[in-house]
Amino acid sequence: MNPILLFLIPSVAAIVTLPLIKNRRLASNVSAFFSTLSFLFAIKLVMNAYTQSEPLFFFHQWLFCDKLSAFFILLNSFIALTTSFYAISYLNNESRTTLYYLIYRFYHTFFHIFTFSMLVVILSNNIGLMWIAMELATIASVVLVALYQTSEALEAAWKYLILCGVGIGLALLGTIILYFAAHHYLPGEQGLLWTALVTHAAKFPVKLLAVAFVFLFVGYGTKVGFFPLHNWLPDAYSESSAMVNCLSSGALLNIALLVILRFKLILSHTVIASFSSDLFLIFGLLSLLFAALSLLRQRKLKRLFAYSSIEHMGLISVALGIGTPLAYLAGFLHILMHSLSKSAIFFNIGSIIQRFHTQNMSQLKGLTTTIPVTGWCFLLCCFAILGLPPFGLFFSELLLILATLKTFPWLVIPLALGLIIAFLAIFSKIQSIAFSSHPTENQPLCNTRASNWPVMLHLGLTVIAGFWIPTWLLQPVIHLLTQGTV
Amino acid sequence: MTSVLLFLISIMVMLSFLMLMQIHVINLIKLVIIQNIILTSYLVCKAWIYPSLELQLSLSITFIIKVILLPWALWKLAGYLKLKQHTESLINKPTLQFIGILLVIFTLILSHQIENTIGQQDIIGFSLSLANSMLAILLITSRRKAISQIIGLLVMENSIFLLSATLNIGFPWLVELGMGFDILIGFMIFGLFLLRIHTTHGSLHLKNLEKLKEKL
Repeated sequence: MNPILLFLIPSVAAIVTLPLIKNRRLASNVSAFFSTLSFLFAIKLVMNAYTQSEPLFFFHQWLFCDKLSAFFILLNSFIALTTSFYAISYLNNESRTTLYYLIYRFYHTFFHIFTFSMLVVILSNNIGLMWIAMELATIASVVLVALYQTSEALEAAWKYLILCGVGIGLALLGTIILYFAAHHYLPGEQGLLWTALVTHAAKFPVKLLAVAFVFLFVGYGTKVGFFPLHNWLPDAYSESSAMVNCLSSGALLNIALLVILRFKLILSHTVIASFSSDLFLIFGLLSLLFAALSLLRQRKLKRLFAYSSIEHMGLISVALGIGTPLAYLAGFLHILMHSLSKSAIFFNIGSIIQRFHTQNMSQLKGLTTTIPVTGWCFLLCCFAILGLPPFGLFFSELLLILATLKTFPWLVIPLALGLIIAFLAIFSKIQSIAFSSHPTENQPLCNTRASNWPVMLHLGLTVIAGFWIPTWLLQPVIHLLTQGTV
Repeated sequence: MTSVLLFLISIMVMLSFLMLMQIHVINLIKLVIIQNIILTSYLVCKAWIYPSLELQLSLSITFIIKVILLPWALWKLAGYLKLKQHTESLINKPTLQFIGILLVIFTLILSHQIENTIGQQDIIGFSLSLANSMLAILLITSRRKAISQIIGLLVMENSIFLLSATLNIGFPWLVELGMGFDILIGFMIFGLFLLRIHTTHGSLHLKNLEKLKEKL
C-alpha cells in the first residue's frame, strides 16, 4: 500500500468513527489511539521520504511527500499525538454542564478533521487541493474555537471566520493568477502541480508571478498571523481550549508558513526571487516588533502567548527571508523548537486555568508553591520559549543572529530589539505567577499524570535539541531548500 | 459575444456598487442573488463560445450552488432571523462610493501594468473581477451587521469564480467541486453562527461582539 494512503487512513477512520461513540472516556481513548496510529505511520512515511532521492507520489500526483513535507508531517503528527493524550485528562476535568454530550462529540470529530486537513495541506502537490484543505482547516478550527459557545467565544470565532475568510479568498485569487501564468507552458492539471510549477517557473511571465505571489502571501499570511493581519489570533487563542491552542500554535501557523514557502520556492527560479525574500523580511520584522511591544500590555495568560506566537512567526519569517543555508537551519530549528515549547506552555496553561478558573495574570500567584509540578513545568516552558540555554530555542535564535550578521548586518538591530523587548515583557510577567508570598487557592484536578507527561516529553525534547541539534532531520530539508528543486 | 461578456461583468461590478449603498438588509440579499444569476449567465455565454467539458462542469457546479442552494439557504435564513425589516445605518455614503471608485481605478492601473502578459481580450475582465473583489472587501469592512459581512464574503467568492472563468476557462473540475463544497460548508457554518449570535444577543449587530477588544 502507498505509504501516503496508509498514513491518511487513521485520520479518516477517526473522523468516521468518533461521531458514533457516545461514551466520553472511550471517545477520548479512541481519539488517542488513532493519533498514535497516525504517528506510527508518519514515521514510516518520513523514513521512506528521507531515504529516497525522489518524492513519493499518490493520486495522480495530487499528493506527494518530499523531505520538506516529511519534516512537517513528523512534527504535526507528534503534536497531534501528545495533544490527544493530554485531552484525555483535560476533558475529564471539564465541567459536564459546559462540555455536554453533543459538544463533546463535536470536539473529537472536528479535532480530527482539523488535523486531517492540515496533513492534506502538507502533502498537497496540487495548489488547488492545498487551498481546499486550508479552507477546511479554517472551518474546522472555527468550530473548535466556538465550542464553548460563550459570548466571547462567539466573538473570537466570528472575527476568525471573517478575517481568515477574506485571507483565504485572496489566496484563491493568487492561485488562479498563478495557474493562468503557467497555463501556456503547463496545460490542464499540470498547471496546478507544484512540482511542475517549480520546474518550469523560469518561463512564466514575472509580472504575473509577482502579482500572484502578493495575493498568496497576504492571503495565507493572514493564517500565519503576520502584522497587520493578526487580529484574529489573540482572540481565538484566548477563547479556545488548550488543545486547540496547541494545534494552532504548534501546527497551523507552521503549515500556513510552509504554503507560502512553497510559493517562494517557485519564485526562487525567476528574476524576482529577491522580491519574495523581501516580503518575508518586511512582514517578519514588522510582526516581531509589533508583537514584542504588544506583549508589554497583556493581562491574560493566553493572549500573552498568542502574541509570543506572532513574535516567533516573525523570527522564522526573517530566517526564511534571508534564505542562506545557515538561516534555513536557524528557521527550521526554530519551527521545531517553537512548536514543542509553545504546545507545552499551552498544555500547562490549560491545567492552570482548570485549577484557578481564570487566566488573568494578576489573579495567578505563586504557582510553584501551590501546584509544584505544573508550576515548575510552566516556568521551565517559559524559559524555553524565552530562548534561555540549554533549550533549543537559544541555539536557533543564536544561529539566526549569526546568519543575519553574515548577510544583512543592519537587520541585527531591529531583530535584537524585538527579542529583548519580548524577553523583558514575558520575564517580568511570569515572575509573580511562579513565585509569590501570597499564593492563590486552587481547585485540585484528577488524573494530572496524564496531563503532565506530554509537557515533560516536549520539554525533554527541547533540552536534548539544545545539546544535540537534530541535523539528521534538518539537513535534508535545508539541502532541498537551497537547491530549490523537488 | 465578447461585448455581451463584458456587459455581464460590468453589471456584476455595478451590483457590487449598489450593495455598498444599500441600507436594507433584504435588498442586499436580493442583490447578491441577482449577482449569482448574472455570474451563471456569464458562464453560460463562456461555455457557448468555448465549448469544453471543464467549463460545462464548472457551470453545473456554479448553477447548483450559486443559483439554487445558496439563494434558498439565504432566503430561509432571512425569514428565520426576521431580516425583512432590518436596516443598517451607513456613515458617509459619498466617501464610501469614492473609495470604491478609487479601488476600481487602482485595479485598472494594476492590470495595465500586466496587459502584455494577459492579452487585450482578457484584461478588462481581469481588472473588473479584481475590482469586484476589492469592493467585496470594502463591503465587509464598512458594515457592522454580521449578515452584511457574510454577503460581502459571498460577493468575494463570486469575483473569484468570475476571475477563474475569465482567465482560465475554469479549473479542473475536481478542484472546482472541492471549492464549491467548501464554500457551501463555510456558508452553513456562517448560518449556524448567525443563529447562535441572534439567540445569544437578540440582534445581529457587531457592537455586541466587542468584549475582547484590547483597552489601551
